[in-house]
Amino acid sequence: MNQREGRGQRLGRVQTGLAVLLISLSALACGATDTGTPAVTFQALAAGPEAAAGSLSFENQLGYSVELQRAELLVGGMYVNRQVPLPGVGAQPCVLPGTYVAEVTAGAVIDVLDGRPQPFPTPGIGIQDRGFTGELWLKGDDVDIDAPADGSQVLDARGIARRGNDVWPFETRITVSQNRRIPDPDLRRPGANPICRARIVSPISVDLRPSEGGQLLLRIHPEQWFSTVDFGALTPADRISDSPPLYRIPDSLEGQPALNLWNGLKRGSAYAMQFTDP
Amino acid sequence: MPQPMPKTGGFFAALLFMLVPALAQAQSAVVPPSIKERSPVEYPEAALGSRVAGDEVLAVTVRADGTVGAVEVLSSLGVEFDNAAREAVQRWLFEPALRDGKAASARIRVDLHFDPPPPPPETEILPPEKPPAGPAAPAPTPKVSHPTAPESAAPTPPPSEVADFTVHGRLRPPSRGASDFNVHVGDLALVPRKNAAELLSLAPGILLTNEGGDGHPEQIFLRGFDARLGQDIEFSVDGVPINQVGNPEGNGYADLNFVIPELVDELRVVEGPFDPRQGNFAVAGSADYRLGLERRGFTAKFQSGTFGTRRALLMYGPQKEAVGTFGGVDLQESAGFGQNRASKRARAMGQYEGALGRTGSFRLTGTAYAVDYQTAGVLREDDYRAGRKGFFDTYDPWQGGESQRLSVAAEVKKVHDHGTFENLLYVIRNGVRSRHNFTGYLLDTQQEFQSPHQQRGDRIDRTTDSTTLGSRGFGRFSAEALGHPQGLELGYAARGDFVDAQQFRVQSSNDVPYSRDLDLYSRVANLSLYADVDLRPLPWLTWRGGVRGEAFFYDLEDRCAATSIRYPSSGFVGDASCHSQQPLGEYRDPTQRINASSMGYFPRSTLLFGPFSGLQFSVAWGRGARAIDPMFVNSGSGTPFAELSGWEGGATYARTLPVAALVARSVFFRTEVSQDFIFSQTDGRNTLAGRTSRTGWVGALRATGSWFDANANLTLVRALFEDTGLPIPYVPEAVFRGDAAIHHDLPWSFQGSPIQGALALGNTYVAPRALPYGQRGEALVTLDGSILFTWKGIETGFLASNLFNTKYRLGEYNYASNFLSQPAPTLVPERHFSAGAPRTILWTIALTLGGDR
Repeated sequence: MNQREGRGQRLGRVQTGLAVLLISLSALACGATDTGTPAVTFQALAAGPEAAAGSLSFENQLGYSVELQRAELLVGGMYVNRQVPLPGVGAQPCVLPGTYVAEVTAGAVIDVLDGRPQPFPTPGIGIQDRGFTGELWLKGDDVDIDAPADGSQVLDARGIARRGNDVWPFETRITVSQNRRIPDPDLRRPGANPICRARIVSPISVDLRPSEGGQLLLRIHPEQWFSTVDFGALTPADRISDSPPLYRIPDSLEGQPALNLWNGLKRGSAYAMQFTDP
Repeated sequence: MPQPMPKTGGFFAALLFMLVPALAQAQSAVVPPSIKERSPVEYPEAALGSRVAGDEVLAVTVRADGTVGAVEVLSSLGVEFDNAAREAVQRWLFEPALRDGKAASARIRVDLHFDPPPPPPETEILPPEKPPAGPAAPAPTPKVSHPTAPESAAPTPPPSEVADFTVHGRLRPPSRGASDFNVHVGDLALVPRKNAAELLSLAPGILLTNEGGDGHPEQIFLRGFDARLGQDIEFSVDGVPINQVGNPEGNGYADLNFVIPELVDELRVVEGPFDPRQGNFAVAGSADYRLGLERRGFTAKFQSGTFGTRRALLMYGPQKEAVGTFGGVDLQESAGFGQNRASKRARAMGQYEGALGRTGSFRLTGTAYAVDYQTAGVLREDDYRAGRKGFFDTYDPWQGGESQRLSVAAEVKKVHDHGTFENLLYVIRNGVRSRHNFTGYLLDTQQEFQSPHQQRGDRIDRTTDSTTLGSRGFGRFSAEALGHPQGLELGYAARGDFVDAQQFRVQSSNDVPYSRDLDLYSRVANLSLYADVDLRPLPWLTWRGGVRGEAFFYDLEDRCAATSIRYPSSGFVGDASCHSQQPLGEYRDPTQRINASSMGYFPRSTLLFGPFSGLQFSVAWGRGARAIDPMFVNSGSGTPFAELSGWEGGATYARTLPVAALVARSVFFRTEVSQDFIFSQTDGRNTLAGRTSRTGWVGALRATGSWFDANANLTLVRALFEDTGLPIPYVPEAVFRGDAAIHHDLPWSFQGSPIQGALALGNTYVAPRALPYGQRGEALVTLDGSILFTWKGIETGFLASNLFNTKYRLGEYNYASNFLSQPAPTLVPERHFSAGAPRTILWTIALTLGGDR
């Protein structure tokens, strides 16, 4: 073997070694894992109680037998945040600081007296991460959550309440504008009760993890809305018709029935979110 | 408070810079000779064992016919160097000196700097002389680091007498191994590039993206680092730093757009913290642009093409002056592709290199730059897919920016018997404004002390006015020991930054600022010292290394020190951003002074083995640091460094074949960073993250022939968070870049002069990038090309970017935003992208008058 051939062989070995190292490193780089949880798309649905079939009867905590004959809820958006709800924590900002893991941004009017799942117009999106705080945004489409006025009717309900021999046929139509504004606690905190907070039902305690192609079902329990409504406290001024008799629970925070219905509507326990994998 | 710079100042400066070389030439009543053709000077084989480095000074008589007569050695490195220098210089051809328009003989002085092989960059990778074509090529021998900047004129006596003038070479730092890239742009300048930053891609592992528009700095990725706008790479132009301290868009913000690409001669990229010369920000590495204009005479270039792009460039390199003496003014405007991408840019650069006595030289450099640009920003992927937005649309046409930059620098080099000394002084003024909106209407949530309001928008308006003064220098010494030359370099850097920075949030409906996020005046002093030894205990073993000491002193004036108050007084106004109350309502001044300092020492070391038949191995280790962003400095506390340590092992193979000079490299590396930064769209800048590491491999190849030049590199890297093991988002795991250019005489001629054609292609491939929340970006593939024809001093042709017109996502992100594109707010993290440019074609024509090449 002459010197040139020997050098050629040495170079050949070096080149082969470099090629092996290159291939090894390629495998190393390509084998890197993902950065965390992937994004998913899922179907969003909402329904009333499973027992509901055009009407719903229940007894509230004050002894009234209530028969709901119509109940439609406008859900403007539905969200799930990774943050764990903490009891006793003061008012949260309208957009929670944690990461949102699921959202449904197209609103739908849900017939709450229908126990069958009703689809939202567009799918929801999310990330495959556990969420613990659910939120319902009660607002009209394309209305800013902070807008001072929103003429959208978020709840349209009608029914009959009975206690003993007394009967209160009632209806209610709820909007969320300045009529829901809570006065500021003191002059130094003019933003302590923003209108957006009035429009958001939060927190709804959930424990779910979105997955691709799954279903997020919002189950609405309207009996919770009326659980502390004292229909007997409705005044003659609330009676809008004598024949047939009909009361209207005011669209305001005035009076026990109106206030407690509003509180019931905003109660997180009136809603449940469940995610089903495909 | 520093005032914004007048935009017109740059243009007066530009005129001045253009005049400097002109005046230099005008003062010569007699035109001295200039180099017309030079053959390479070979490093003498007999001296390979000694590895001597130094300067050889010759007195050369140039005859009236341009050939070389007597060659006298004025300063010798040894007999073998004398012979090598004589042999080469006697083959050089000159344009003879002129007196009264007639050729005359003259004597000139030529300085040659010899650096020993091995291959690494300063030698084989950038042979300015191409190997001669044909079989009669001389046997390959190591070359010297050839002077890249020739001749500068001293006062010229009548040509009948002898005249001295000097060929100046630039001192290049000794190589740090396989990741030390001295990239000579050469024919690869034919590959279309939008700006000087894109020249960086000639070094491996670099990806540039830009969500900020034409005048916005590029976001730079290097070997697994997301250097954002420069935080992890130390940038400089001929030693003058570019990174801005305390810019609210990112500490280390480096805008390279002021550099005219045609005036970049070469660049040195060191990937990793292995050179004691590397200072603050050199976490992923450093890049130094070296300016020069090889095309002498007046060159006027005009380009026009798609999207209303027009560019006019005037460059001047006096024939009898050095490559480093030039002037250039560049005007450019474009309507931009898609919505909100128009830009107007003007820049000027001028430099003069001259002799300083018999053994010294000086260089004066000035730059001026101004830009006004619009930015499309990012788009949500779901909006694009649903047809709510076009690929090149924008959400917010308010986005954009303005920037002005002025700098002057003076460098003096002196060669003594006992060493070489170099000193650089510089002054830089920067004015930067940038306007972004990354999140739409997401962040302006109602606070209890604020008046009720809707989301007013997340527009971020940042301004920076800064002045930087600084100096850097070194002394390089060598002596014979252990039978070999041994070297030592002692250097320093001192820099002071005076930065006035503000960041506002601006209401989308009426462009009125509603919140002040930042109002900070920073005085930051950075002083460093380094020692770097170059020891050669054995003929095949070299150790280069030393230590760098860094000291930082922060004197900050936070004009918005109180942004929230617990239990304010009854008179509290909650809508203001910067308050004058302490908790419980006690008065305070909203301004607070903060002082902090820190000091650290960072060792760096490189072992070089070889070369063995052109193959050299290197092992390098080093520690580097990034000083903390002034906005994160806390009063009274020591200012922590983000420290990193890196090591690498590599091999370089260099060989000159009859048809081409080849350089190939293979490098394995690992880097660990104690505290990294990750881009946050919420803040619109990088924010603190955890400990990270990068492991990878780099391969690079360059082949340069008499009629072609090709460069290819591939980088594979795995960049991880150490605590979770998850990939670092946005960082590409595989980057390939290939550039190739060919040129040759065509079989046609006109008026007896041949027409030359040139073809160039550049290709980039980036593997899908990891994104937050488990997302992966898309692969990015682009192909750029140019075709040019040259006849005498006229050059014309077409430059095309993104030849296949692919719709590619240049930048990709994954985060929550709400641009009101859907009926209810969007709060879940979603893919966003900044669109890459569609196919862009420019017609170019350039006319060179009075040039010699």
